[in-house]
Formats: sequence, structure tokens, C-alpha cells
Amino acid sequence: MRAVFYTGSRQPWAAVLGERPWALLPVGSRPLLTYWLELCVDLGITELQLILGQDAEHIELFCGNGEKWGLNINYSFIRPGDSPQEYLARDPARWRDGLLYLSGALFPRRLADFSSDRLKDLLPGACYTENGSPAFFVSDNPEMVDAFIRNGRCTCQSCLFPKQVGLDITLIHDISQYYDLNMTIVRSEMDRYLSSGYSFSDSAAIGYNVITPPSVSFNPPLAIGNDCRLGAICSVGPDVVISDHVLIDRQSELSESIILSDTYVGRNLEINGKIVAGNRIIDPADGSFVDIEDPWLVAHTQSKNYMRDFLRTVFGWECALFLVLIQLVPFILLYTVLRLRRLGVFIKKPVWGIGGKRIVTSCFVATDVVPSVLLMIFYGASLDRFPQLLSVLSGKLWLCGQVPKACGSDGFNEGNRYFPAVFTHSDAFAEIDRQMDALYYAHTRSLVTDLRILRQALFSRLLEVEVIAGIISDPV
Amino acid sequence: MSVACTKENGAGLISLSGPLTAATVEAFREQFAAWQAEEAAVKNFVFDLSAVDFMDSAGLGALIAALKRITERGGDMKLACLQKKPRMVFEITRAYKVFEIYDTVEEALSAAGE
Repeated sequence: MRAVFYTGSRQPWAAVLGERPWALLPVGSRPLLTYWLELCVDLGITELQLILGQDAEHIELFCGNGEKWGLNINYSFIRPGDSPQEYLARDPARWRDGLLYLSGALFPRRLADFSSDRLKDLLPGACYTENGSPAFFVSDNPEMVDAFIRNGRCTCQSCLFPKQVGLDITLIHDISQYYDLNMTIVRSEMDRYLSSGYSFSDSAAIGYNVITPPSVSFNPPLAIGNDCRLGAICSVGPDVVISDHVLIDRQSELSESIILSDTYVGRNLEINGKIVAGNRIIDPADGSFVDIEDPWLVAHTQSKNYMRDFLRTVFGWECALFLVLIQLVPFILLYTVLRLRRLGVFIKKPVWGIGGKRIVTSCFVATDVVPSVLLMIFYGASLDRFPQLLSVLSGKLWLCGQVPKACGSDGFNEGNRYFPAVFTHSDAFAEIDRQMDALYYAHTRSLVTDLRILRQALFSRLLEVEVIAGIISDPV
Repeated sequence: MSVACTKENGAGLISLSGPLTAATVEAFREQFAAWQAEEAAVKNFVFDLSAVDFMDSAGLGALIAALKRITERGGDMKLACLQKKPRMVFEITRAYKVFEIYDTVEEALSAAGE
């Protein structure tokens, strides 16, 4: 038995939600398409053909070869104007062993009496059409499959309706329906679906790699996707759906809202009863929206900007060279004295460098908590970062960016949001939330930001040298 | 952005039209400050925002600055007819807690006169 999913259709209601393909819009914090894939798995299907349209690359990137779900996914396209039935009719023998067909923005909603065992009862034949177009079809009967391909509907008189096995095929027609579906799911139905990361308990589903400081207040029900960061004193919930790669800055309050993937929500904001997609705030009642051009309010979390990053590379390299040249002699002299007086030493630390490569960087560790004049000069002139400046020259670290992550047992998976650097927000600004600032840097990085960090870092280290020198800490 | 300043029932009625954004706030500031200087006796103000279709954080900042100037002089400031899109900016930034917002200019003028 094979499955054919058609995600190439146009869904006008989804246009307001930005560039994201409708199949990847979150329902209960996970992309709609994942529910289709899980339906496939529940029915014991392993071979899946995904028919794509516009934005194909996003869906292909998300699904890959299907390994994550134990599926073997192949991709196809159909010509604009062609129907998926025409695609199926090209090689009818291929579907003879059985076919699961899904098309349109449908959500296979599990009702209270749903159980995955009962899904198998659909296999003799089940169909759901909307305005004459098939949205859902499943059968392992070759004749019925042939008839479906020919007529686009189920011909079996005695076949089940999906609802009879506790599956409600809910088609999303407009933005308010999309919002209501999400709210319904998060309020009372999350436990019927596989939850990402951890299991659904206490009406809160939280994905993996979600960083939450202790001061964050959760007010279930809520669902949060993967790789999200919440700032200090945030309040999340009730009735909140947060998708993947979302950054909520400190002191913001979210309730009855949906935050789509790759969105930054600024500090001290109050999002209530809205959908936020990047820099767009949408009223789910009528789809009206406002695009905010201020990156301090709501914005896209940006991952790639080649020109900006190229400029930062050139600037960082030249600045690092300049700093190395003026620091070389003072470094040799002072470090020699420090070693002779046993006041501190450089130790090797393995960290993730640029592009997720393992590198070894040198970190200065003082051996005495009491700051001495020598140590103060050493820190104040940023000579403790001298070996790391050499790493900038060899292309292993950025000059300004995020605190490099120590190499652990886990692999590196931060991709384009990781900018390990010599000077960071931690050096430049007090009262920081390291994870939040790292993500915020990835979102707002620019030459100007780098200059601010560099100026502030060098300046503040000079002024606050007494404090810095008193800390024996691992800077990585 | 156009700014029309008149006097109604002893209160200043400031009617704004067009987007109130970083590009237009300076014009708003200048015109409002000039009228305020001319009509120094007027303490209370109503801002009619029915024709403001868009506002960003700079526009919001300009309104907050105006509120500060007015309250420093012992006056009061009301907003009227806030449209949907600017209202979203007010909602997310919690600015609605700072301003008194009325559905109509008449209501706002009446409240300003009290």
C-alpha cells in the first residue's frame, strides 16, 4: 500500500500567514504535514509519494527522505492546472496494492473515541470529498482504487466514513477556522496526538531544546515546538501555540495566540488573541494584519544574509589583525610576568567553531581570586582574548557574536544561527540572558551591531576591570 | 501626514491623517508643538486618529512624547477613533494602558471637558 499526498494546491487563506507553505503551518505547535505522516505510520504505510507545488523546497527540506518517520518519501510535481488524479492515472498499476490519498489543507482530527487500531477499519474503503473534489481517500481494494482514480470518488456503498472510526477530516477554509482549530486542539485534544519532545502532561506540550529560565511562568494549556527560547519573566498561556525556532524576549506575555516558526517577539510585549508570523500580526477574526517594521517589536528570526555576513567577516578579520598587532608586544611581556608570578594560565578548551567545526581555543584562568594590578591590566586590555584573536585570523571564530559553545557529547545542530566569537554581548552589556542574547544576535546581527559590541566590550572591560579580574571563570 | 489643529469646547482637537511612522513623526511633532505654543491656554487635547491607517513604534513614541508634554503642563490627552491596525500596535506594546482611548471624537471631547 502506498500513500500520495498533494500539497501543491493553493490555499488563499494561508497567504496572509507569510511565505510558509500551508502544509507546514503549525497545528498544536507542529506542522500540519506531520499529522498526515503520522496517519501514514498508523496505517502501516511506508511508501509515500509527495506531490509538491509552489514552495516545494520548504516541504522537501522538512520531510527529507522520511527517515524520521520510518517512511520512504519520494517527490513529484504536476503541471499547473493538472489535477492529482491525472498524476495517479499515469501509472494506475502502481497503486493497485492500496492507496491513501490526502489533498488540501485538511487536518485529520482525532475525536474522543479515536484509537489507532480502529484506523485499519478504513482500509476496505473510505472517502471524503469537498465540493466534489476528493480530499481524503483510503482503500486496499484494487477495484476501488481504480474507480477512485477514474472518478475521483469512492464508489463503495457500504464503506465507512472517517468519523465512524473517530477521525474527523477537518478542512481549513479561512484564517479564523485555522485559529479556532489550533485553540481547540491546544485546549482539549493535544493528548490524542504524538507530542514533540516530551509527552503531553498537565495540558502543556513542550518540544525539545526549549530554553526557559526559572522565572518564566507557564499557564496551561499551551504547546511549544522545538528549538525555542523564552526570556526571563515571560508569561506563556493560556491557549498558546508556539511553533519551532521562536524567540520570546523577556517580560512578554502571550495568551490565546499562535506564534509561527522563526518569529522573534520583543521585550515587554503583550500578545493576546493574535497570530504572529514573523513581523506580521494578524487578527484571526477577519485576517486583517499589520506588518511591523521595527525589529525590536516582532520580526523574523533571520538565519542567512550572505552580504551582511561577508561584510562582518571582512570587518572582523581586519579588526582582529589590528588588535593582534597592537597587543602582540604587551601580551608577550605581561603574560610572561603573569606566568612567572603564577597569577594565571591559558587552558585549552574544545568548542564548536564557525560552521560547527570542533576547534580548540585558549581561555585564560586566573589562579587567585584577589585581583592584582597585573591581572587588571591584562583583562582591561583584553589580552586574555589574544589567542582567540588568532582564531579569528584563521577563520575559526568571529570577532563579535555569540559565546562559543563547549563541545559536548551531542552533535552540533545550530546551523545558520550560530556565530561563535571572541567578543559577545556578555562582554558588552550587563544583565544578559546568554541564550536569549545569542539568538537575538543571530536575528539582528549587522556590522553596526558588531561595532557596538566591540566598542562596548573593549570599553567596559577597561572600566570594569576590577570586577572582571576578581572572577575566576570559564569564559566559554 | 497632515495635522489639523482646532479648538473645540476649550480643548485642542488634533486631527491626524495618514501614516504616523518614523518618516512622518517629525512633521507631526513640529506642527503640534507650534500650535501648542500659539494656544498656550489650551491644556486638554483630543487626538482624532480616525484617518491614521498605520502607526509604527516611532509613531507611538511621538504620541507618548506628546502625552508627556501635555501632562507636564497640567493637561490631559485623549485619543479617539483608533483604527484597527494602529490599535494592534497599541495592544502589543501595552500602550492602551497609558492612554485614554474613546470610540468617538465627541466622547473624547466630552471627557476632556470634564
